Amino acid sequence: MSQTLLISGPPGCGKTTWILSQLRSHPGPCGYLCLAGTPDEGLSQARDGGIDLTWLQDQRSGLQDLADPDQALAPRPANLLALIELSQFQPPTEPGLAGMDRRVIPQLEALHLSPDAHLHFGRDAVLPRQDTLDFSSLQAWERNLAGAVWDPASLSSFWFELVNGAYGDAYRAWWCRARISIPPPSRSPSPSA
Amino acid sequence: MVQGKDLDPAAIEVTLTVRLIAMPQSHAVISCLHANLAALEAVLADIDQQGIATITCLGDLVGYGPQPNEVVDLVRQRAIPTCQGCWDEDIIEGLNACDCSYPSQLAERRGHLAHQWTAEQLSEESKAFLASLPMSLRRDRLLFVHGSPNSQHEYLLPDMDAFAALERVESAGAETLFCGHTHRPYVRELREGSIRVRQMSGEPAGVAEAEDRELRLPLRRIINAGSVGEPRHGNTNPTYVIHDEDIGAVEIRELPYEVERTCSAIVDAGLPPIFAWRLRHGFEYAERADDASHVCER
Ligand SMILES: [Zn+2]
Ligand SMILES: [Zn+2]
Repeated sequence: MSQTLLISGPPGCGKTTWILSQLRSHPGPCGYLCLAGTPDEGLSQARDGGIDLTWLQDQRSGLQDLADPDQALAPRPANLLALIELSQFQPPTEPGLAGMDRRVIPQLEALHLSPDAHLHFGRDAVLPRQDTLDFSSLQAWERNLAGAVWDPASLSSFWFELVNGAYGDAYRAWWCRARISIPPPSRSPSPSA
Repeated sequence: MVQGKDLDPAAIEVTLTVRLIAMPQSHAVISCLHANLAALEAVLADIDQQGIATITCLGDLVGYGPQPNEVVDLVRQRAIPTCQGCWDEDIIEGLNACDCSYPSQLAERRGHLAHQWTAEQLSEESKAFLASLPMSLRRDRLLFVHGSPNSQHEYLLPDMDAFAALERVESAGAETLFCGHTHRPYVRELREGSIRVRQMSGEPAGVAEAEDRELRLPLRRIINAGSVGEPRHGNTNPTYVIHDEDIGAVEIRELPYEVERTCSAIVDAGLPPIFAWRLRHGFEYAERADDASHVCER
């Protein structure tokens, strides 16, 4: 029997980690979707950029991308475990599926996904207890460094400072290296040319 | 236990006498002040408290820290014999350190920024004082340098090859070499060192007989004073050394100081706030290059 779960919680509460543990223990096929979430009042969110999916696919072989429209139309395997991750700062006002953020329903419908259950970190006891943090002043900061050159040693210094709170308390940080272009070695013209 | 008013005056007299006899042989060595006035004041107070009158400074009075003129003034006021550090040299001569002395572009940029700021802040008088500093100081068989006898920029690390270390001390004609520059204090004893010389006899190749001659050297020492103003040994405490010439005892002293006073001064001076964060957490302002033995040939 296939199962589709919507997992929500504030950023950094351990959603992806918990999802990975479920994916690993499920013997059958698995799928994953990360929903963008909605910008709540006074709180901004950095874009996910597909990092979590890439990481999970690396950790769990054969993980399906539920956002892939081709797969959305294909018949789903009977024992599929489909896990949908959603960043949500505020706890749901109602228990179970009724507490699901209405604004994500169109996205789910477009992908032919209909959750069997909704679990929220901090509300549902089946999920690990999240550490208590005050998110009232949470800020997300994102910089596109395209075109900027960072040598690995500088990046590692800056990263060390960032995660140790040199620029303010950092709760979660990530970086991705999009592309490294190395100019081809200059060759002297070959004698036959 | 002898308490308050019961204290026997004779006992005090004995203690005082011992102190007076024991102290004059000891001298203190400080290094790498890096424009950190609060740290320098704390170290000087600690030295004074022990009745030590002779202090030698191994340079790097300025660089990164927020009070270059104040630190230079205090060293001059106290008439502390000082040799020139890498920063003291660079601030006078312009940047001599090559790019490879920094492990990253970020560290290099911070280094250049600190250099530029310091050069702007230093009074002509302070600059003239730094320019007048000698490369090394010598008292009998004690030699005082910033980096190594070869250069203010060379790092004598504690795990440096023993032969190379011995060579530095021996060629400088010293028994005990005091240095700084690494910002990590240590005492290294080069015991029973020997230099082996293989002499070939004049026979044709293949049948040559080699004769080993060994020159045994007495105990040599390298004493690194660490850093007053920019410790790199794992916490924020300044370090310096007390050396007793007669009995050869060395004490590496470490003491707390008002680090926040310097952190506020960094921010007030308009230096990057990250300097204050790094100092407060016991990290050097800018990392050192991986190849510490590298000496720029420029
Ligand atoms: Zn120094
Ligand atoms: Zn130095």
